Amino acid sequence: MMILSRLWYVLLALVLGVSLYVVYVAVGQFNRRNHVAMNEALAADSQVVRWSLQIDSRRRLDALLVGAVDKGLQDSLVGANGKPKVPEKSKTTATKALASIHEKIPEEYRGDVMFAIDRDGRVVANYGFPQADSIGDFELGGYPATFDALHGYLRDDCWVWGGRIYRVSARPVEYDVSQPPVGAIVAIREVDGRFAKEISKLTRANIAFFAAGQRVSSASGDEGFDERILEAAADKLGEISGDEGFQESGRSGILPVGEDGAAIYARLEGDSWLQGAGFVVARSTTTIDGPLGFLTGADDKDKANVSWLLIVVAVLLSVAGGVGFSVLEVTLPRRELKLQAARLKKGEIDLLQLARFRAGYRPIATDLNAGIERVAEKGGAPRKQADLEQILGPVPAQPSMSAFSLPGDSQPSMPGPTSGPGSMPKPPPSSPGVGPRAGLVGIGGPTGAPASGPAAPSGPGGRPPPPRSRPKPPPGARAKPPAPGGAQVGGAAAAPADGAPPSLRGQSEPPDETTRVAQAPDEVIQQAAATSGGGATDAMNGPEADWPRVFADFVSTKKQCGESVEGLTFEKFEHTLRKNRDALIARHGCKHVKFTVYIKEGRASLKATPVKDA
Amino acid sequence: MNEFRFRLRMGLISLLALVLCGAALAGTVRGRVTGHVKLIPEVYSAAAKPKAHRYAWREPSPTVRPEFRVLSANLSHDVCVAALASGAATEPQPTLIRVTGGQMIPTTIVVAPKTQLSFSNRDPFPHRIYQVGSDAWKPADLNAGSPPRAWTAPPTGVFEFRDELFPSVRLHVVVESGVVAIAYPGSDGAFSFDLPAGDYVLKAFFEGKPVGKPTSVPVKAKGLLKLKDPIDVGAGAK
Repeated sequence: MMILSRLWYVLLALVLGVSLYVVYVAVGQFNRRNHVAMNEALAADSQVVRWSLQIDSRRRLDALLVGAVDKGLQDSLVGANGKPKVPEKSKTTATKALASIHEKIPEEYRGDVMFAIDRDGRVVANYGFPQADSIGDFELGGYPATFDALHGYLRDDCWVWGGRIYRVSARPVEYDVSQPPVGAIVAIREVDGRFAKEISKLTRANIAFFAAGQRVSSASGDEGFDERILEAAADKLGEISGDEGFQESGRSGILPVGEDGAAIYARLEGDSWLQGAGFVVARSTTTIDGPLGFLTGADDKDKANVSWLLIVVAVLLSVAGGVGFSVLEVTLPRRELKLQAARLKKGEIDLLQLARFRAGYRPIATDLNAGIERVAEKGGAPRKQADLEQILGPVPAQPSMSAFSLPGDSQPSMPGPTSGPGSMPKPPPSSPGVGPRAGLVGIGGPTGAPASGPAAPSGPGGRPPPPRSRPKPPPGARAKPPAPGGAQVGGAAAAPADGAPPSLRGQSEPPDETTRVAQAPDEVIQQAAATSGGGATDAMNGPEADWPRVFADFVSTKKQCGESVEGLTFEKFEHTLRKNRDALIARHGCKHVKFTVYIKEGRASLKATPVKDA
Repeated sequence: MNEFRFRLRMGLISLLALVLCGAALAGTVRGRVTGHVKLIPEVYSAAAKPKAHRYAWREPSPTVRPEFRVLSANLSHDVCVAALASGAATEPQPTLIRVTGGQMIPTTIVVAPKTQLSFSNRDPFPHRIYQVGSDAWKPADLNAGSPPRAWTAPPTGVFEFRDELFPSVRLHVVVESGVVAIAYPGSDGAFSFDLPAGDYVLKAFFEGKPVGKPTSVPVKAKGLLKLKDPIDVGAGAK
């Protein structure tokens, strides 16, 4: 029935289905976890950037200490305070002092611009801001950071001037501890591309600074990051600026930007908090669209991590399983069928050997055997003597019938009177209990017309010879498959169904290569019948009634084989049969024993077949 | 623009005539304001609050004494002393308001009705000044180097001006009839007026509100009047 193969297909289908299910689940799970991880990473980026900016401010404030205690700067501010107009000397001194201070500050914390501011908030001098030179009364005292510094506080700030962002550090300049600060020093650093790169390098974040709804600068911390995501993030500035949550907390949620990006917006602390300035960190979203997305999105490293050995082993096991089961359940039974069919064709066997078939091929073979039998019953081709061992496998030990053939040892060992031809009674019909199977030994049927033997003459008195085959089996008892190990021998097909004399049929058929037993002459049968006595014959019931004919067949066969039949009497023959029959019945518990004649190694022999059914 | 120049010219001529005429009859009033350390500009006190998100680091310098670390007002910018005369009607004079350094200078001004204020940007970057609560004076760009933007005082009231781009830029305008002159104290609190002879009331204003007690001043021609008691602008301040 190809159960294993089909189970294998089911198993493979289940594995395939489970694999697809797992892949789809994996896709969803990957996307979900990746989304969560990206959200966490984005939140971390935003926080880390904020911390980085705070630390940067702190260090810039500390670095500015050298300016707060600079003597030249102090003197210049003292000289400017209280004057309606800032003296030129103070400007010059302050300018030199600022240049000197700029050089003293570590490069990474230097401001792009520095201002020296007197107590009233006027700019006495600047470093790196020539725009102020043309403005005579340029001041900075109104900014909270400067105001705080003029009142003794260190403070950072973030300004937006003309759409540009400036990081501010301000410290008071002290001259006399008993007096208020004489002024302040303010350093500002523009948030340009260089600054963005520094922060991005420190934080490994993809960051863009924005002010007044425009991106001011940006830098990427990832090598493969798509800069267009930051551009897309800048495009949403107008949308995010109207978000109440962003305005209140200073930080947005995670927002999708572009096709495959997400971003978090944050406001910069300082005046910039109210000036719409801030920064945005962004990351690209890695989304797997489907199972094939794992393949299209894989890089060389991913492919290198694949366990090819496991895949090859799995494929080979799958192939081996499929091929193995198909060979086991298809190829081998079909080969066996082919071999047996060839042997059947050659005549080496008459029926298929059912025991060698498995599963679904066995019913087929059974049907074929039944068909062969049915054809044979209808007068099909002659067949040789059935081999019980071939059909049923090993059969129970049987008594050697060599005793019957001993007379064939050139010298008959069983002399006895022979009945006269006229005393030979008509052989009784075979016991129906034996059925057609009892005739399988080939005594009857088509083989009853040996090519070399004498044609079956009419018996004395013109009576036709008794049929060699068993009577027709009862309906329903025919063509049943033989049970293994049982005594049912499916050879009944050897007998013609219509009971026609086999000789008539055998004349037109080609000589069979198989062993044939010649039909016993009627005189021998009559002799056997006469020898056994009519009463004895009458007393015989069942298969014993057929013994005279068996005896006749045996004598005839011996003659065919050139053996002597001298001294071979029916009494001895009957005695031997009875003895063996009893032994077999006692051994196998069968009801009857059917004896048939066959030729073994050129000599006539008898074969006993236990018959269980009545 | 021509009209503005014409008015400015006429104003200057009138002022000159007043000065020349008044100089012969004017007297000088000198005084002081005290208690200004108690005047804390709201914009700075608000910016100093941690929850305002206006800074990451703000800490006092350990070498600056605590009494100097008070965020007191800048007298020269934030406290305006006005001399008011009852029934006096003087020609309003155009007044320049400088926008620079994160503020307007001055931050508080007292003017007579119809006084014209000219807002001038003294920074190298643009501002967007507007009158709070007014649809007539909406935010408009005030670029560096561009002509001043004018505003004329209505009959009376207190008005506030701000800058859209800079939160610390604020101006409080007090419009009162009878305003003859205004003065801004120096860092030491001293101020002075040259006033025609007559009776005046001196009032100090901070962030658009009067501070301290009004002081009556009788001014005599060609005389110097030194106020005996300073004006305590910190009185009543929270």
